Amino acid sequence: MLLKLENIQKTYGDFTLNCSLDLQPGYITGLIGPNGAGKTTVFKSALGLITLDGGTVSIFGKPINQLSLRERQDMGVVLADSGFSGYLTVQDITRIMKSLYQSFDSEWFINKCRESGLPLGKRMKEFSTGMKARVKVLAAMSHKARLLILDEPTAGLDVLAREELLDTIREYMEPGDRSILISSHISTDLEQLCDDLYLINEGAIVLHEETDALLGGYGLLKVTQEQYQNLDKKYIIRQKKDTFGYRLLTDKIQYYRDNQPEIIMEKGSVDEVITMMIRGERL
Amino acid sequence: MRGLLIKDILLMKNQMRIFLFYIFLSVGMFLADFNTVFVINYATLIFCMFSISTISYDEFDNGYAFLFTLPVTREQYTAEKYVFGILTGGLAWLVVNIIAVIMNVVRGRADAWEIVVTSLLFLILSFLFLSVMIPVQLKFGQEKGRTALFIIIGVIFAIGFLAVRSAKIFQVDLSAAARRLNTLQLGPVTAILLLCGVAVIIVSYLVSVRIIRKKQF
Repeated sequence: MLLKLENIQKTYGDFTLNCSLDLQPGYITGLIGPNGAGKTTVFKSALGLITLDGGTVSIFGKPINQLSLRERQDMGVVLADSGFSGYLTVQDITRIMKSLYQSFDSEWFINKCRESGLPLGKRMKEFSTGMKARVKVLAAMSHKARLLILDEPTAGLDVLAREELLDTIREYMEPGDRSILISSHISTDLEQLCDDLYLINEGAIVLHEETDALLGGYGLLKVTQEQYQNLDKKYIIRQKKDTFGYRLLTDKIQYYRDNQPEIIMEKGSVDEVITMMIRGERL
Repeated sequence: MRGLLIKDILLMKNQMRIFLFYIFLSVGMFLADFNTVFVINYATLIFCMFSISTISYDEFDNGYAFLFTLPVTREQYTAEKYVFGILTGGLAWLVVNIIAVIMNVVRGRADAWEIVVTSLLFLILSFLFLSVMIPVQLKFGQEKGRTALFIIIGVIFAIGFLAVRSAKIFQVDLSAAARRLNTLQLGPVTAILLLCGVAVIIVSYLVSVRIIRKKQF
């Protein structure tokens, strides 16, 4: 396992994080959840930026505080609320990265920045949100790290810039031995990109599923009161009452397609699953 | 450590105008025949303080969090602040000293060696000031750090005041003690102070490491 969080616990006032998460080699694992769900706290825990009240974090099979500097060079990080000083330029970052990472590919970094239209000699504080996000991601990828930890890398980007960024991430995975833990509050980003998804809410993981299983197996049933009474609820995992009757979330949509085709059904989307998992009630 | 030093040098590039301003100001003061040792001390202290200014840059916009995801340890980060302060202060001290000695030779004065030794004493004092400032800045940050510094200076003055008052009460002759200090050789005093300075820097570094290890981002 490249990254393993085991029952990590952290309390801030009335917020408590309590979760476990695994990142497997060759995987892109997504962490998704509403604002304030604890995504950034998970990332900061994984990176040793905060002290935990309980649980363990291991990266490359070792506790984070036992990683050598050489091993830490094998990680690339993007944080949503932090980065290089805005008083530095892309050229400055190139010099700094060159002295920090043995595998830093300055040609690749400069070329990618140029392709993205980033001015090399301008201070980053004068950059737009999208430009800053782009520099952060490219810097994280510039030293061929085996493990990328990306907290909200697409935040503040427009659709085109997001697509471009997602393409760069896909390209990054091509060698096959790399893994990414990525968070976003835009579910479609992760739907397209991730092999598996963790859904986090109020500091706890409420769902972990392979993306294919989630998109293929999960679905929404829209039933009337009458249909609801007669329904086989064996594979219903959440329900929510609405004016029409009930919205039901299943993880076996095919079962209902085969047995009760008269019911209105929708294929699962990550947004629907999130809404139902968080707002719906358990059966 | 090299990466961090490069980062701080590049950050200070933004303050190049201030750098040049102080160098020109020092030269101007020399030309106006200001007290040479004062000019050297002034420039040395200002340049030492650039290290504190880089801590503010790091702290700004929650920059610490990202810095500690880079392949650097918290100990290296702390040590680099001392190295950077000593380098910038030491370099400024050297440059201004060279200018001062040249000016002295030009003016045909013979006290160049004394200037160097006296200013060395003040170089150590600048490092001591840095040793107080770095842990304060790391612990309290830019805003609270300023208040903390005022309090520290206040406490130092209060201690000094109390010491003088108690000396009067217990009838200790401080001016006699000061006269005795003046009769001591400058060389050995500087050497002892240098050793004390090194000890203070080491203690200050250990305190700073404790502070930075406990920090959460």
